[in-house]
Amino acid sequence: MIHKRTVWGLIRKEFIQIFRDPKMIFAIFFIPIMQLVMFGLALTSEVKNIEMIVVSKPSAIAREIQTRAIASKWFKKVHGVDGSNVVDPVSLLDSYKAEAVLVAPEEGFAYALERQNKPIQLLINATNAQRAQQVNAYIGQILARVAADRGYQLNGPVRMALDTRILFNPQLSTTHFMVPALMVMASFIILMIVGSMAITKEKEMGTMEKLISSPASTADILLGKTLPYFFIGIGIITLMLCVGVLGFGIAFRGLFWQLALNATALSACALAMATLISTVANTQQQAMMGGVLVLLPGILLSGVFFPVANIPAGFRWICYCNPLMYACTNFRNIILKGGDYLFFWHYFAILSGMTLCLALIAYKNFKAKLN
Amino acid sequence: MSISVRAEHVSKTLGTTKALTQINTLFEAGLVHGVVGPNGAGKTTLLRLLKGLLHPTQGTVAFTLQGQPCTLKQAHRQTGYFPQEPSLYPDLSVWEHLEFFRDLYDVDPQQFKNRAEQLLSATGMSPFTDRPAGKLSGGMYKKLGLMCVLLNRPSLLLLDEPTIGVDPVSRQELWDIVYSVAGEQMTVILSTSYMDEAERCAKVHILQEGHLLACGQPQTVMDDLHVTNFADIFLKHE
Repeated sequence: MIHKRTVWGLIRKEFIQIFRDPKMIFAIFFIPIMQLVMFGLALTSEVKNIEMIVVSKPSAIAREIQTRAIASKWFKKVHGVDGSNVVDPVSLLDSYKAEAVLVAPEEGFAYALERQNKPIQLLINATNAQRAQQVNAYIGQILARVAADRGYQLNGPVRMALDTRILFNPQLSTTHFMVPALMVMASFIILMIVGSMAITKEKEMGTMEKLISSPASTADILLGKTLPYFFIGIGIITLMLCVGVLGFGIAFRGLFWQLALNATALSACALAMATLISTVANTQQQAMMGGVLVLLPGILLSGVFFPVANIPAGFRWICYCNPLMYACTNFRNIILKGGDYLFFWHYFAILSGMTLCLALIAYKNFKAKLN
Repeated sequence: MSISVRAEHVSKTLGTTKALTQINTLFEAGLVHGVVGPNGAGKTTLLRLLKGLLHPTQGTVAFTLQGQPCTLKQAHRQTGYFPQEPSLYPDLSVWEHLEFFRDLYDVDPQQFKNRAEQLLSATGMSPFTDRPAGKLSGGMYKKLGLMCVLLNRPSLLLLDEPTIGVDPVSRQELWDIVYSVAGEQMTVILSTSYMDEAERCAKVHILQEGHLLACGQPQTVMDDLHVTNFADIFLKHE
């Protein structure tokens, strides 16, 4: 049975404590925004700033390749190295002077592109395999354009003219892709850590005994302790959405009620997890450690940073058991793609189901612990 | 409306430790009862059993309200419990604590106002309503804890060593409050390891190492055990 007055009293007390603690305000409101801005700007999977040197005798085509590469913004100029005087191109990679070296044959680029019986050599530092593949593709594109502009007929497979339309993220911006996921990640981290610490704090201070010995039921205590953080979670997500739209220029294509429902399920899920952790942890330090143990695999296997499709099929089931994966994918679906109904309801239903299960387990454990 | 409690063959084992063994005693309604014993005698365990925070390993705890048996759940709602460490929220003020406990115990807002004023005036805490609990002295802190428990006028008040670590003046004030509330409307059961306090109770229940050594009026108990003060009981049994 739920006593409204008791729950309200607990909520009121919790809000007073939160807003009276500057450290708490900083942790709740400033850290998620800082994470969003920092990660939104810094975390990008686009391969950029590639230091490339074109090794060739001075020629117009060599200069054109160089100019086009720099104009693409994928490459940057390497100062202090003259491509026409390089004797050992591999040493440029060894000495970290360049990440890629494009070496023209003895006869020059024009000859190689026109006749195509003299290979152009591309040396790439492939310690980061993904980056190396991208560099290879970029240079291939630049050479193809240079050849096409000069009217050289390239051999090889039949070339098709593709009319490409890039949907949902026309600028191919990683930031636009990352921001919805960061909203999920940052709010989940804060709610889970702060929520579990708020409950264990009562245990640590001995005030939990007071709550248990009052007529308040288990449901009253749990609702009173978690509802303030639930509202804060919704507030954090709203704030981050504003920063995403106004600060990063993300076009919000979905419906607000879809986002609100998803944010509700996400916040409830984080708090159910927080309660579950607090039933095991006796101190705030243990709660924080428990939170980190859950969060690390939770985030890495949610698709926030790495696509779930990249994970080997044998391990992919872990992702399918991860509520963060559903929340993250649905946030992207709503914000970037407009929230396809079938997809939205499918992922929302799974997320809500998982939240309900977690909440029931947390409630049972909490009640058992109190008894 | 005060509650009487009967413990029958109550034993409690905590882990591998036998905290209480075969306790048989009656806490009559309307009196101030003292559960007396040295540290580790089982006082806190007994009070927690009476509150329902622990369940007996053996035996039963029966409650009677106005001569009628009542369940633990019914008794629970009418029982105020003051733990050994009356942990309060250091960042909440005295008044915010009273408001919080008003909501926690679902006290009627009209009654709350009168009761809060009465309690504040009885404890001399009226000038300190805005002071955070973390900045109160030891005695004031205990008084605030007691006020919070008394807000809903419980029929049974359980106080676990309420005067421990408190200066003599505050101890006297706390006792005055206890005596002012005990009576027809409230049964008070308090635990103490101070022997002088035991003598102020209407009935004492002497515990040692989980066993009930004696119970009755303080003077009768001392006479029965042939001692002149309570401390001698424990020295004799060492």
